[in-house]
Amino acid sequence: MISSAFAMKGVHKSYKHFQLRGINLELPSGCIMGFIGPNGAGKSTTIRILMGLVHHDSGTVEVLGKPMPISQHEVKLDIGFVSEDMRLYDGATVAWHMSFIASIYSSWDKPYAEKLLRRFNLNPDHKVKGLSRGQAVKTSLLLALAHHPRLLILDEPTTGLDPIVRQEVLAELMDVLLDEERSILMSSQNTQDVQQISDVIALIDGGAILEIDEKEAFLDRWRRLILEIDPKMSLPGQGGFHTLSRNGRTCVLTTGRYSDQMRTDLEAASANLIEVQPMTLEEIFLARIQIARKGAAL
Amino acid sequence: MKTPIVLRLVLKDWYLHREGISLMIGGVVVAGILTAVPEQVCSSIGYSITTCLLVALTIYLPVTIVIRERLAKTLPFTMSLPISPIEYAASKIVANLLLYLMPWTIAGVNFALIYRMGSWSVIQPLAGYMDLFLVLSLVEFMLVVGFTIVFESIGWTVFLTVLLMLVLTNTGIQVVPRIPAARHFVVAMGRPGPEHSWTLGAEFAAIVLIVAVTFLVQARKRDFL
Repeated sequence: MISSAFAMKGVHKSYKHFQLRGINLELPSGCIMGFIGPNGAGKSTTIRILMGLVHHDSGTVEVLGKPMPISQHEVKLDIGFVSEDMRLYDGATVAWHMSFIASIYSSWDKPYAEKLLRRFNLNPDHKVKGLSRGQAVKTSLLLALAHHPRLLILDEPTTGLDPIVRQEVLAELMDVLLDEERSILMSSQNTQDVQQISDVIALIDGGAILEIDEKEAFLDRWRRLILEIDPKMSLPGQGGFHTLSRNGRTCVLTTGRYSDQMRTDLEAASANLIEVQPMTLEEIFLARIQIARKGAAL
Repeated sequence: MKTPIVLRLVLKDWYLHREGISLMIGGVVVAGILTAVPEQVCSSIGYSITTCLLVALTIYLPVTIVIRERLAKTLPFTMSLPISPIEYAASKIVANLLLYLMPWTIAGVNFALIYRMGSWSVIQPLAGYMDLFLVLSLVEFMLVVGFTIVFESIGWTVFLTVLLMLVLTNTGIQVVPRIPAARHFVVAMGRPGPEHSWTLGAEFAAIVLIVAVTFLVQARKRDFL
């Protein structure tokens, strides 16, 4: 039994204008990881390294218990991959793609593929060049899922879809994911998608992992605090506070280390805590990126 | 390297580019028929079209089969499958080579037909070198294919083809026989004998070397997008 679907340790990759810096990332088996970051943060490079599409300069990468990229041939038999910047063959039909993939994977499950075809409402005789973006994503998902991969890697699969189709694709994806247990890595710029689907959240920016935690714990420890405090007084140093706004005695802060103890600490510092507000993943994402870009400690 | 996977990828490439490939191959077949017409004008036109199409195919096939995979963004899809970089390169080489061998064989038959139909004057001065030229075109094609697999650039593929086929080969034909030291060897190459056999052998060795270097470079590649 492999305890992690993949593990990256100290992974570096240098390009002329971009670097991945010491990526440590691990996905426990059976979990769904939401991988969030702005454009150019390093999400796709990290995923390409996991897939063996790009080789890392240093560090170690293990996928399904095997080292990458040496074992990529064997490992890819158990991976389903859908990426925003990958296209299917324009001149071929959905049915041709299904038969092509079936000839590559011995684990291809034809009845399951046909079930997905109906569930995704796809016409097997349609050529890929005639498909809408949503239908193309669904076709890619079908091809990725129907050989029962143990690890599913989705690199911004919903990018470029309108909100209605995005919801439709996500709903169908979640429905399909209930069928069997898989480990999933899904990168996205859309925090709503990630919040909807993930067990674990990882945040990346500037080629470095900023945060990785279970979704509930992650959402629990991030709070927006509204408090009154004498401007001359300082806040407890270990709180990891970041000021959003200040107006006289009233101060709005965020923290990624919220706990019940924090109330006591703030009261001890003569602060009057007016309100503690939960934050959405999007608000946390924006706050955390701003903190990282200011170079401040969390 | 798994042969069934390589063959599956070859069939995939042929299927996806079937229309363009059929047109090109069809063109060579028509040229072959023209060559067989017992009129010197027709056979000359057939010979010219065949030669032009061989040059065109040297650009068209690698660009279509190798570079379009990257331009159409289907390369991440292909490389996300359990396919090794060597299997991928092997499939591209085989897909290109087998397609090129069809018109190449037709070209060989054309030249033989020209000889048999008495239209000999068209190629009379080059008759003894015909097999060497045919294999040379194969060497140049394989060099372009290998180069395209490694560098995946349309511009450089076209540049290399023009450089090899139109500049180096033509210049070689014009200049080398005029070099006193080479003249004897060039004359001997056109007759059955060791010079002819050695040159032919060197051409086939060059093909093997090109394939080996392509695999070597492909195995060391670190980026497949």
